[in-house]
Amino acid sequence: MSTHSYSREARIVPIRQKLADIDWVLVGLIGLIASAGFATLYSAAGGSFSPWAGPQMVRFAVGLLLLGAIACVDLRVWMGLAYPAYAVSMVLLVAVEIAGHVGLGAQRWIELGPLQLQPSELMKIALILALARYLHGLEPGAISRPFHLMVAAGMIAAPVVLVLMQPNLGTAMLLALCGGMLLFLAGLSWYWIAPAVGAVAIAASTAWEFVLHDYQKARVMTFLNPDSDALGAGWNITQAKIALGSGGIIGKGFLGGTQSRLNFLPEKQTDFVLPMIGEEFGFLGTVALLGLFAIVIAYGIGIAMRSRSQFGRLLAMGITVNFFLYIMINGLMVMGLIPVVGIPMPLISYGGSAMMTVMFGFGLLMSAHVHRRIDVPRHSSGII
Amino acid sequence: MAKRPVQPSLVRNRIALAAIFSAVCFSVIAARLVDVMVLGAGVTGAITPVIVHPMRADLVDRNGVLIARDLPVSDVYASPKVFWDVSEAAHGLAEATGAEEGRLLAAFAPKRGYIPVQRGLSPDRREAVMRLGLPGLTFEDGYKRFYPSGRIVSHAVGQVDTDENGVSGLELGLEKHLKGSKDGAPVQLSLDMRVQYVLEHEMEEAQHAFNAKATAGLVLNVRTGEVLALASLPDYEPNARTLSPGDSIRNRMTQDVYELGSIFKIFAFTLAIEEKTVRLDELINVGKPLKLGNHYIHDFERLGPLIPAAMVFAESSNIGTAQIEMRSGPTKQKPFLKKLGLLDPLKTELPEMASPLYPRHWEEVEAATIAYGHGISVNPLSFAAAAASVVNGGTRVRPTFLKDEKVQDGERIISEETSRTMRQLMRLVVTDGTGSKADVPGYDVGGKTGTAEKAENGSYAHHLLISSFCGVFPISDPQYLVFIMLDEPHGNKSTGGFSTGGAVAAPSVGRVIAKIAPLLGVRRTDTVAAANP
Repeated sequence: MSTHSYSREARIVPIRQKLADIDWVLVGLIGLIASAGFATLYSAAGGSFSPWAGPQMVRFAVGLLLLGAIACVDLRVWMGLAYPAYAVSMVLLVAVEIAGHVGLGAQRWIELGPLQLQPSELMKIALILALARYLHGLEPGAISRPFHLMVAAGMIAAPVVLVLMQPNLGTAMLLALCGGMLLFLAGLSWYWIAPAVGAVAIAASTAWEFVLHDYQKARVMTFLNPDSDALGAGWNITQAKIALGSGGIIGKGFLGGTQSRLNFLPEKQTDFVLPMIGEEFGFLGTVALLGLFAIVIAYGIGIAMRSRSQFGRLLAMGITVNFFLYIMINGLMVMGLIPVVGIPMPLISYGGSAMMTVMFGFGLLMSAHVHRRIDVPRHSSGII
Repeated sequence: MAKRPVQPSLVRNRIALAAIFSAVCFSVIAARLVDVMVLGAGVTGAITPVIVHPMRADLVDRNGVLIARDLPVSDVYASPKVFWDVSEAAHGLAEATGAEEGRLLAAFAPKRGYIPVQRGLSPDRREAVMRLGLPGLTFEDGYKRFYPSGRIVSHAVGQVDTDENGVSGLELGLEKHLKGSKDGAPVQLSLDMRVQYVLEHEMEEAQHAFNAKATAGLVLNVRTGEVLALASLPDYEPNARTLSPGDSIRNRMTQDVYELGSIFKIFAFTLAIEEKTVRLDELINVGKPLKLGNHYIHDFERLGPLIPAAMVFAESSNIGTAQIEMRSGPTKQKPFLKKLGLLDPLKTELPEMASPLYPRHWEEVEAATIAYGHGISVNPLSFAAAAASVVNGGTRVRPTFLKDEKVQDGERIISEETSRTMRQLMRLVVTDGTGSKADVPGYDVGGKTGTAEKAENGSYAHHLLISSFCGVFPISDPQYLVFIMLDEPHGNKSTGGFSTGGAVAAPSVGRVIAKIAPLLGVRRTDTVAAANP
């Protein structure tokens, strides 16, 4: 089987053909979710495009162009860029860490014309690319060998530690979970997974014992049995119930949310956007939104399944897992089940960095879809 | 094993597992949403009445005046990581909460962690913090115990810790009552805040006038055992978490024991009269110091040489009292003092209660000195309870801090007859003896003065005194006992330089009685006489 013929062939596929290969249904789903976000931001501002909905729409438009452009770039080019991207991200992470120490309050992002990019956001993509690239080059089952596992774990740990030092617990958690998930997907032996899960369980119980505040413990315990203390520690859950539950089944309607109540939800336009959706669009609206998320994730998994190359599979899964983690962490956070770690609801919450990261990720996912039929040899290092 | 197919199938299996996992996660969230949004849909916050149970019941005085109450407060914490502008946040929070801006700025600067900003914010201050619109603030709601009258009842009522557990005073002693009050009913104390204010005021005046180290005082109902007022100076501010300089949390009425001196002669004479070892008109030789073993017993001023036994009490002669006591001796004296409760730790709702100190070898000499209140140390509340038992008709009084207006059914200690005689003797102290300054026209005060030299380095210091007065009114049918004790008072011009109990404590007791007797509805004896000629 000649890989050369494939690569030559791939290079001459016209852009028009690639654009046609893009899964426009998935793009439509993404657009639908983002539109729900615009509507919510419009309502959060009391029925106005400023200050949130307007800029968010512009960002999404830019993100769509980005998605299309990325999707048309050959998967092997992304493979070739994987290690350089990881290296650049690491350098930037170290740089902001040092700069951050030199001048307190230094901005931890870089300006690229109209775009603002945080190195930690860049790293979310770069880590997935680099891990997929590394795992692609391994023999089946080789990831369970101590050396390879050490390398892969080191690739995850280095940015996690740097991001923790910023400190940015949410992003560090996201990177660690996403990286760990990729190792699992690459076929890491259960003999490694079981002790690792055990260690995480011990670390979590230690955190429970020594790190979590009493009221956070109470929240979790009360979540498990909300009626145990409905007026005391159960109050937070009751509040969440009020914010979500006041929407009822069909909601109070668009722009019908009680602003006064949501005004004391901090960051309602960013991290705490979900209760607001619950109030205005009700149970049906919220479940519809979650359904859209689930369908997008199913699409991502489907793309991974159909991808012929290991790199494409792992890249697609990495992007999908990342998206999934955003949703889960934000969901648990607004329900008060985990500490507020500053992870937004993807495509919905107001904010530029997350939007760009997510759209960039979808671009890569789409590239894996467009180039799903390309079989990349294990020893290939991609096209640069 | 064929290489090519293995990896894709393994990875696909894992992807399938991940898909199942994500499906489970979505189902859990969806189920939770059904619970919250569909099943709980009928409940909305705006109309849900929230019943707030204070953690501790209110404390009120015998007339329902509020003494202690839980107020809703919030502790505010900040996650500086999410502040846009740390110095602006610190400035705003300092203004809204009263926290120190410099401390906040220093704590926020690293932009990490979870910083306590201020504890115990009142609802309006919490509102002010809310209006700042800062992200990353957490409120922990709780209660703070508030004492509207501040220092006035600090020692009796005590304090709670930051977790609302009683740590001293009645807050600790009545912990079960206060926490177990399910219907939120207040716990009603025996204290009468009007009487408490009067007592505390007179004690402060005396403490200041005579530059005393400490002052303790009490108003006790001699029939019901209810403590109407109890104070100890220096006191402290129970609403503050820290003591100011000069403040003290020691309750000198209960927590310290003192050799109270001549005031103890009440018990020597009670025993002698009960045992009929003395007649009040019997002449006693008090002309020269009494030699007992190696000790000489002196009088404060030279009396006699021959005075009636009644005047031994009224003029407070140590020499005379010791002689009378020795007729009964230690074998009668010790069980008698035990019956009065002076040899055992007193049990009341107040947890701070010092045990009495008395000699292990209780022989003739000890009996003679204990007769005039030296060689035995008790806390003043125990003394007051024993004195009340003597004057109330002769039955044991057990002090209580809970309102209970029924006359105590204590065991009989002395006869009615002896009690009446003792009241006559105590009236004589005020009309013709050392306690004349305690008299209040119309209320027939009876009492006894006490002036004890403080033991210092194994001997008695002549210039360091415990000066006290125990007054009872109206003496014909006693209702209340008022006791004031000054620790190391210094005489001034108004007392001719004297710092004895009759000079520094008796006038204060008189003034307390003059003010509280009308408040408590005690009838004036002179108007009664005028109405029934």
